[in-house]
Amino acid sequence: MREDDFIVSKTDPKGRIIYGNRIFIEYSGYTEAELLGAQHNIIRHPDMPRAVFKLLWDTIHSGHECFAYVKNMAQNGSYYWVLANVTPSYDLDGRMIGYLSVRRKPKPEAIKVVDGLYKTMLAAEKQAGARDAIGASSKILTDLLTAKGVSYEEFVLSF
Amino acid sequence: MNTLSLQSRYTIFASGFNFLLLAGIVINVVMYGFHWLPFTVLIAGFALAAWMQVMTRKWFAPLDKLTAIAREISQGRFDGRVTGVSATDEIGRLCWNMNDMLDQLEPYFREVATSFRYTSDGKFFRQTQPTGLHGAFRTSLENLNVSLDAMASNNREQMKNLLISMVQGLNSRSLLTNLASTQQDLAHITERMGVVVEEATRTHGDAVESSGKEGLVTCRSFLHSSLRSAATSKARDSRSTP
Repeated sequence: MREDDFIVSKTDPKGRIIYGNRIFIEYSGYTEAELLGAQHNIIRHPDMPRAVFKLLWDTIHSGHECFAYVKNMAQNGSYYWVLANVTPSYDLDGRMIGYLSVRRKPKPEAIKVVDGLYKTMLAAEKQAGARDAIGASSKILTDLLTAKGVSYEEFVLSF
Repeated sequence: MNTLSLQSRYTIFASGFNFLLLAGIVINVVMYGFHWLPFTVLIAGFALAAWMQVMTRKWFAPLDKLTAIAREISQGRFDGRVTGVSATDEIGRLCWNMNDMLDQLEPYFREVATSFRYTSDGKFFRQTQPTGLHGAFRTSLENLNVSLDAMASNNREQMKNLLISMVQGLNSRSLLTNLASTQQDLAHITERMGVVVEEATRTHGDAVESSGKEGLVTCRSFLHSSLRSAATSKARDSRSTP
């Protein structure tokens, strides 16, 4: 990712892509036609723990913004790290009409920490089996936050 | 004519052109008989003009969307985008630049709104994220972060002052309590002193009174001891006289 650019995408409330900017098209390696209508997890990298997406969706469903470090996968299998900020969008009547995701270049020191954390979380998910995966890896994250004495948001923005 | 949309104007011209082509075909056939070559050329011209009409309709289509979006921007709404346009033609480039502009405007205003909401909730860690924003959008957010920092340190200072004044309040409250209990103690002491004085006065009275008694006692004990020594000497005398 470049310092002076960010990836912008929009989805409908079900997570289907309705807009991607040219940076998104460039980094994802897909054409605009391929991206539009596709589920946003089209760019999900298998190294990402499920618990992170659960946290992200839970937070934005409750009407709040959510920050998350995300390892995305391009069409050719290469990856790129982003600091995603997802916020709900509302129409004039206050109805939720979708989400805006702005993905920025993360700081290298953040990637170092988060990469290690996600590896541990992913290992815990694999060990716990599909049913208990999210609980097991969420616990690793909450334990880390408790040890540091910070909220999730403070942790993400602390780098 | 000037009140019509570009699309309608083009349609009028193109329809006129098509009509003339069609008339040309008919005239050609009627006057000179059917010949393949001019007929094919004229038919191809007609098809091309018809296709042009369809294509320009498609090329102009994003203009309506752009107009709607520009109107939304003037109303302070930034969520519209134009999708499915070519990135190479003039209108397509205009659309993508409009999208880029909205991609700056929308995150800018969301950042401002979110970090202010957090700040007013007392969460000062949610600084705005200038990364990826350009020019004045970026400097504006950077300046805002400086202000947020100042607000955070003001808040810390305020909290400190509040704490100090609370401690002072506690101190002066206990000072008042102390004063009250000192006053109480003093009243108590005064009361006690009164009792002491009373006691002293009474003792003094008793003492004056008792000094007479004491004289009697002394007198009596003197008499008693004199009598005893007289008796002793009398006994000694009687023993020494055979």
